[in-house]
Amino acid sequence: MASSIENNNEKLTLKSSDGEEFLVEKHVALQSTLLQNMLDSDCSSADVIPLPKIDARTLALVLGYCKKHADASSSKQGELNSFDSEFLKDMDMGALFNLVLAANFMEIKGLLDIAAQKIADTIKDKPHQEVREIFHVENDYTPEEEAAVREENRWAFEGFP
Amino acid sequence: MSLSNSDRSINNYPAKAEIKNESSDSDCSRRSYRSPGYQPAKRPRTDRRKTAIDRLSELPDHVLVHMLSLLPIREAIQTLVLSRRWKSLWTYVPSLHFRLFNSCVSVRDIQRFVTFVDETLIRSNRSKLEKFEVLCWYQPNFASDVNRWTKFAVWKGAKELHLSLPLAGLGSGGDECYELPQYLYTNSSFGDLGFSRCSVVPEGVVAWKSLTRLSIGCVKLSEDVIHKILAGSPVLEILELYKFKGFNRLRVSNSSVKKLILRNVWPICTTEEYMDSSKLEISAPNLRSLEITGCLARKNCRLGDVSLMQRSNLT
Repeated sequence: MASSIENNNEKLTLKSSDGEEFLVEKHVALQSTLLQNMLDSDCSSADVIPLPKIDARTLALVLGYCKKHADASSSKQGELNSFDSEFLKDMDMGALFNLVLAANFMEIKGLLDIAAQKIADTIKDKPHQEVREIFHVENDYTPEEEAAVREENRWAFEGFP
Repeated sequence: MSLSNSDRSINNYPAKAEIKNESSDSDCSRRSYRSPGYQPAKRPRTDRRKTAIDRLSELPDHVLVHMLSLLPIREAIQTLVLSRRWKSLWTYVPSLHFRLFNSCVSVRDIQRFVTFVDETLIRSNRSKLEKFEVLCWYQPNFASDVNRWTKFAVWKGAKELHLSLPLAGLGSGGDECYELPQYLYTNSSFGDLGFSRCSVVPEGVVAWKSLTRLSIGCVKLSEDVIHKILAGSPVLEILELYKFKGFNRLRVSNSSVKKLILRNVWPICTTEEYMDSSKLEISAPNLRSLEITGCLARKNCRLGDVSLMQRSNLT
């Protein structure tokens, strides 16, 4: 693994929405399906690739994830798993949503998976009102509508062990 | 008490379009959840939260659906009460896992479970399913329900199908377990199949052209059945058998099968079964990896031709 990285000195420049430029090794960039497709087509590695929807802070996080995954050999799956579980730990919701959108835009499946899992874990086992409060979800049902929706879907709220 | 719902034919599950990348507020024309007084334009606002942005609901549909698929199915469905945005998002979840595995369940629990699965399937808007799984206690009069669900999985082109149906009640014999319907044996969508406590007896040929992983357990199998399965699974890579009985020779001649996993033979109750399971001869010339775990030790296991094997894990 290490030798292939040393031999591959090709780099490309990514530019965040707030104008910061990141020099990235090509094999790291290839973790992103979006960048892979761009490189496969006609984009030269000398070009600066703008990522207008991703700010520098988020892009730095994304590239940290990509680098770890690109450099790790397949035999180190356990190490990657613990990296993944640490990666989003203590991250605030704002940063998490930026990361989800970046992973979605850049098509980095693994990162999107762990970020989606983090959101799911936050929702799990919580009453709906608490979920609404955590994520600022505005309940736009009228009380009558909500009652009707619950009634129509009563089967989903009836318990079985 | 009958648990079947014979009035719910599989044909009643409506075919629906794939998810659209737009607000899901308008896509529930099939079955209206709206109360008679529903007026879309009138949105009551709570002033105290006007400043806070709901970034969760702003995520694209497919990201939210993916997130919902990581929740237990019932919790995913219950998000429909959060707001209008969430009302039908769950209906696009691509993986459906239904589990009723508490050690103490009543007939009423099972009835509710059946209703829950049916109501979920009726509302599913996914045109293609990735995974379909049912793990629950089984009773013979429950067969028509499971048949209806497996038909649904086949109709939706599920790539993974997992059924685990231990018999409910004490002293149930092995003969009453769920018999896999014959239409399951010829299917080119299946890539991953898992059957536990299901009777596997194909009458005709097996044709699982895309199947790469198969796991069968807690069941009596015959050499003939295994032969049919292997003959009909040309790209099978991983074969797992656990808590099995009924055969003494296992021949895996498929060039595709790289890994064989054998776990725990069936608990022995009678002398006849002891004789039946006293030995096991394995021959798999193309195998790369063999894993034998658990109390297979009772078997006098003999490895025949395993000339290509690179890795074995015997514990």
